[in-house]
Amino acid sequence: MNAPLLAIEGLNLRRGATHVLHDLTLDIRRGEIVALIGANGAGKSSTLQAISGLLRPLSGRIAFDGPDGAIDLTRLAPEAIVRAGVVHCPEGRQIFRSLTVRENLMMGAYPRTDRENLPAELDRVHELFPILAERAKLAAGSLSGGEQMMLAMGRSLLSKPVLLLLDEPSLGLAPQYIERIFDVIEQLRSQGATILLIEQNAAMALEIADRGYVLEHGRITLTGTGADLARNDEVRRAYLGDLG
Amino acid sequence: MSQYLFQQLVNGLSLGSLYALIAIGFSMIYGIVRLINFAHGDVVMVGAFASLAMVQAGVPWSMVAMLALVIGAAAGMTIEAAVFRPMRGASQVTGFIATLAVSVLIQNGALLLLSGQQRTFQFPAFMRQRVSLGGVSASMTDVAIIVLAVVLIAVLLFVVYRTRLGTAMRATSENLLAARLMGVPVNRTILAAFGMGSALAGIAGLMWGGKFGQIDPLMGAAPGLKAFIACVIGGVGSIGGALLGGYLLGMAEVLFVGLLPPEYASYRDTFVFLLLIVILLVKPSGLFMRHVEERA
Amino acid sequence: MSKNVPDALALPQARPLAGGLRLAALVALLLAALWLASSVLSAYGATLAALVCLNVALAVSLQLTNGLTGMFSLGHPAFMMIGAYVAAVLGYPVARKSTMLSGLPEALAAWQAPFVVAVALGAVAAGVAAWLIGLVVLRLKGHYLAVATLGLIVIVQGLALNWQGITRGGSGLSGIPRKTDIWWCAGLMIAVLVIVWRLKFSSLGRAMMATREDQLAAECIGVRTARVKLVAFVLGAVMAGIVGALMAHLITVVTPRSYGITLAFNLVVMVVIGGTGSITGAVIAAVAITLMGEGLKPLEEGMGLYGLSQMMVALALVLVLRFRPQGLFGSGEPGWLIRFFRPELSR
Repeated sequence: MNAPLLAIEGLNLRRGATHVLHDLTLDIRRGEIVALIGANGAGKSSTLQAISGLLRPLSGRIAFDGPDGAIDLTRLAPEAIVRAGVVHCPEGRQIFRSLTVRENLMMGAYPRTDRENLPAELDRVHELFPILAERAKLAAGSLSGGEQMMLAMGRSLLSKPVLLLLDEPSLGLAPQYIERIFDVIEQLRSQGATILLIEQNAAMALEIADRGYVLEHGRITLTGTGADLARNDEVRRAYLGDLG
Repeated sequence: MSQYLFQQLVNGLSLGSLYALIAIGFSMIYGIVRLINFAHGDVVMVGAFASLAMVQAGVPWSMVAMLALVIGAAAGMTIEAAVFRPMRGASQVTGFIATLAVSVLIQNGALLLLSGQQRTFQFPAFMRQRVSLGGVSASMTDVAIIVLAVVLIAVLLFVVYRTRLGTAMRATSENLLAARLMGVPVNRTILAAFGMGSALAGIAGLMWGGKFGQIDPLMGAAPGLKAFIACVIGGVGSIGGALLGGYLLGMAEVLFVGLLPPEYASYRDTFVFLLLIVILLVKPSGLFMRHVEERA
Repeated sequence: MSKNVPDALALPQARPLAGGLRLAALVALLLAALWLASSVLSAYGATLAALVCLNVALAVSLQLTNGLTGMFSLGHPAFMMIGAYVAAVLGYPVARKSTMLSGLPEALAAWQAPFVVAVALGAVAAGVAAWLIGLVVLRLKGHYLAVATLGLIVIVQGLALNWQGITRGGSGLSGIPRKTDIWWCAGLMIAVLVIVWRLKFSSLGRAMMATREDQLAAECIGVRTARVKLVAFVLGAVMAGIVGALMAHLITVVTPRSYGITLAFNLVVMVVIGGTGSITGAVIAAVAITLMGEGLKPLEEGMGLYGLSQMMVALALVLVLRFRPQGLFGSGEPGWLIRFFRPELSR
């Protein structure tokens, strides 16, 4: 269990004219929740997009030791990365508004070949988020923001993630939904999932994270266990709103 | 019902069926890549000439119809793979200019190969008979067009709304990025949409030829533009809208010609384009759509 | 200042007297060259040179609407048609008006407008039409404007085809007196070039380019974008109307079919290949495409290869869009040209 599931080494990434990631190195071990925190524009979403293949890095490796053996994700197209087990639940939920709730969930299972297991897994997602069963036949656009986030997570779970990338799951949600989402994240960990989490809400993220990385201007400046980081003065000042 | 009215109704329905078939493909392509595909009408022309060539080579009619679908699909997919895919990500206007260029290229290529001469396109004799129904009659060609269009549209709607590929198409047209993150092979899905839409245009070419009796290399311009107008009437990018818009436009054209004094009949296209501009200005999301997309 | 000067960066300073003088000198030089050419060229060569001039004027005037202001209009042929028909009908010999143009009101049937008046009224008609249409249509953006202006072509064509008594329908109006020669065409070309060039480097030109780059931002800094767009649209249409009027009196025939979608496409090609917003680029593209079309004519007619030159134009466009989407010159002008005409900018 000691070999990392995902190891990013020396990742450099350019977005238009700006160099957004500088020699980024981080790793995620099996069964961990790793939080990536940082200010707006620090490069958090770009990191996730590089992992899921939406952005092509200038240099560096993203080694993923998945069920199909060790592979370098920088060489794969997004759809191949999903099939390898790295599932990206994007910022802003990005559900398919005109499709029904059920169709959205089935889109999560799109590339899977083991379709005989789907009914059971659909039941599991419905257990996690009962509202999705109730609204199965409605257009996803008719759901509230919090329900849409549940749908986005349920959809990602049906992609059968080995590693789940969560981009700002709490963004713009009412408090009761945020708690619900974080409950589910912890529940997933207890079932053995591995998660890379990006959050504006650094306090909550560090609370549930095993380890965390602080990203500033495209560089990793601090790393440590979630609890260590939450106690770190700099982190407290910059990200946890501690004025003392 | 009087024979005259019935005849107008059948005329409108059969013209509308053709418009609807072409408009649906147009709309699918717009929906998935946000491209006004000016070359879509030229696929109709390709379908018509391919059908004529097959008929002359002695291929049986049922096979010709099947192959018209296949050839239309192949034409559309070639255009997408060769021209539009390398330009993905360019601005909408750039894409539109590229489709114009492809259209000019196909038309003049056909002109070069086939000359601008009109060719006679004749359905077999039984298609040119009239069928009577309780005192009124209609041409077999029109009836066949109406029926075939309904069947094809039903098949298409089934694929788009009831299959995994169709769900992926709808997902891709709504949110391409999210579809990629779900593991949808986006380029192949777009190719499939071009294929399905252009297959309908291909067979519409066969029927267009049979209905009007003559085909030429530039014949695609009119159906292409009319399909776009049908889409605007119904709401660009929506399959249901294209369907309704197509039938509505067909009926409206026939009524315009049938009800007004004959000296105005030749203003038909002028009328249709005035209608287009008015709808673009007054109800840009189409007559039947509630949700508004920005016209930019 | 960099080599390729971007659009009107510098502030206007002292009166560009030197630039004006150089421009005048260049015009004089051009006229001298033309005078020489017209005495040497065959009738065919002179007509070809006149056509080149008219196409340059068209491409540059379209650059004003599409390139500088960023509206994607395909409507130029419609305005050319209006200018051509109005001028041709007004300037038609009275003796033949009664037999050919039965639908004319009596006052017009009995009057043959002098050439200049006919052309001017053609331009006015095109401008008024553009103003009325622009008031409503310019609210549309991007490819919706393109399709609406395409519709405009079909509508004007439909009128020309069906208004038998005044336009003679699809067979076209023939026997128009040949009043245009290379001098008129060259004069128009020079006028259009000077006007559009000066406009590009004026405050109105900067307002146009601001509208093109970001309409909302332009409005925020006080550009009345709706008006700027309308001005560009109408001005372009007036120029197109004059070209149409001159063309009618050059080739002595007007038919609705010659002002169709293909012409609109070819004009857009000139703008896009030259570089959207670049006057120099439009001039070069217009000359090249016109000469290529004429050069391939013997091949097309001799070997029956009709459509060959049009295919090459389309292919060239596809290649430019694919490999150099900004066109030959982007939105700017070559640095040496700017230094030549605007010496006050390059110090």
